[in-house]
Amino acid sequence: MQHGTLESGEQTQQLGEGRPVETARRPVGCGLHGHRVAHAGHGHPVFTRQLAPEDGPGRAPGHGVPDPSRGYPRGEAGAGKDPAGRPPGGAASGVGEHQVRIGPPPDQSQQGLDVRGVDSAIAPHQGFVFRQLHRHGARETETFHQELVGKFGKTVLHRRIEVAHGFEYGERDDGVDHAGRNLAPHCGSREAELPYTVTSAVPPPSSPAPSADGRRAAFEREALVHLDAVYRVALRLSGNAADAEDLVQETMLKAYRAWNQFQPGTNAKAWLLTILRNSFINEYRRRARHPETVDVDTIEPFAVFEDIQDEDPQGTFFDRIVDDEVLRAIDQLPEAFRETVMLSDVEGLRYEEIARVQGVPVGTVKSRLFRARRMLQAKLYRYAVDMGYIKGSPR
Amino acid sequence: MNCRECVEHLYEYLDRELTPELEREIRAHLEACPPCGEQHDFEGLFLKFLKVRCQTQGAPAGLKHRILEQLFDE
Repeated sequence: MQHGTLESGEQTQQLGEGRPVETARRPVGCGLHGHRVAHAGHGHPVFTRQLAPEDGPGRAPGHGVPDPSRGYPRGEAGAGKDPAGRPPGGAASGVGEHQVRIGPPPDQSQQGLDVRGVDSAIAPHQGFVFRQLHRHGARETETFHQELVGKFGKTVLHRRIEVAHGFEYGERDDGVDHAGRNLAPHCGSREAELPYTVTSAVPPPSSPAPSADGRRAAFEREALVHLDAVYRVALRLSGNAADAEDLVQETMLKAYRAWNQFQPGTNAKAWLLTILRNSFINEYRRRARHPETVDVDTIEPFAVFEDIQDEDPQGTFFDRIVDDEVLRAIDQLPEAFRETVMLSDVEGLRYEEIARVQGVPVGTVKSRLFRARRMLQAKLYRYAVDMGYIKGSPR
Repeated sequence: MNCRECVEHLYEYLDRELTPELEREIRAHLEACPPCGEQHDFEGLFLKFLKVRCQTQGAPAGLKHRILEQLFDE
């Protein structure tokens, strides 16, 4: 079996930010099996597919096991940080290990960046790996992304959006890099879209296939019970009932086909909402219909409480606002904020789960939630004042 | 813990996303500071209001049936 290799042909000892590459001598792998990026002679790597049908689940043990001489001990920095919630040690299992190498092959240069393994050992590095990929060619990365979605039935590459309190490479949300050092926070205040990070490309270890009846029963019990939640989010994302229904059907179909990848004991609702989000972005977003959304940069969300603490500190005016008005206010939020509010405040996902669904740091989730809630309050408060439910104070 | 810090962390407190230590500090401040306590109640009420109002909507009748047909009868 052939290892997938990405060879950029570019020295990787410097990150774009001018930081010395801590990982230059480390094995870096990532789960991007069967792809080869050949150097096209103009400085850009080109993906060529070498996907073997048997690649993926059930790969031969030992595939991609880190070389101890170059190695980065398994489970070191990434242990317990696997976004898929898997136990550490995935790279050690010998199952479903894949590699991506960026930079010259190790036998040609000690500067080559080589990442191996995906889950526990690799997760902290992947933002960097894909930033490198992105520099070489966004189109190739996008193509690769689509292939992975097709292969795994879920998104394993996530666009990263980082805001003010992101971290230098963005590999980890806790501000500690793979070497255990604190990373300096960014200074910027605007959102900047970064390329991709891999959350998990390793299919779960194969287990005896359940019977068709057992699989169906498990899916109905654990996935279909979240149908209302999936529909609610689909409706807010797509902006119309017909697309929302199609989106939900598609989500459930993809989920059922990928059901063996669901990790029992993890949050099935979050897993379904991740599939939903990816389907939406890939196929529905461009035709989503929404009222004009507010520009978050032009609105300073204020604390309504400060305005009404004398008149109605109990917030009883909320009771008079009809459901449709609340939904309308949510629809006017920008998509990322709208989705965050739905996932958190309506569907009850934890910050970390939302971060995984959206492929952003937890700090971004907090920041979006804070602003989205304040914007919603302000909007509903103004509505209540306009309707005469509350006197309020002019702003 | 002062009022500004308390308000800054209020949503995380309501979402139970704080470290136990910070949660204790906020709780202590809320008990000692009536204005922050009122704001806490207001924000908590707002979050409940949002959840209740948005959860009234569910999947249309028939969608589950169509999905079951699609998944298991294909």
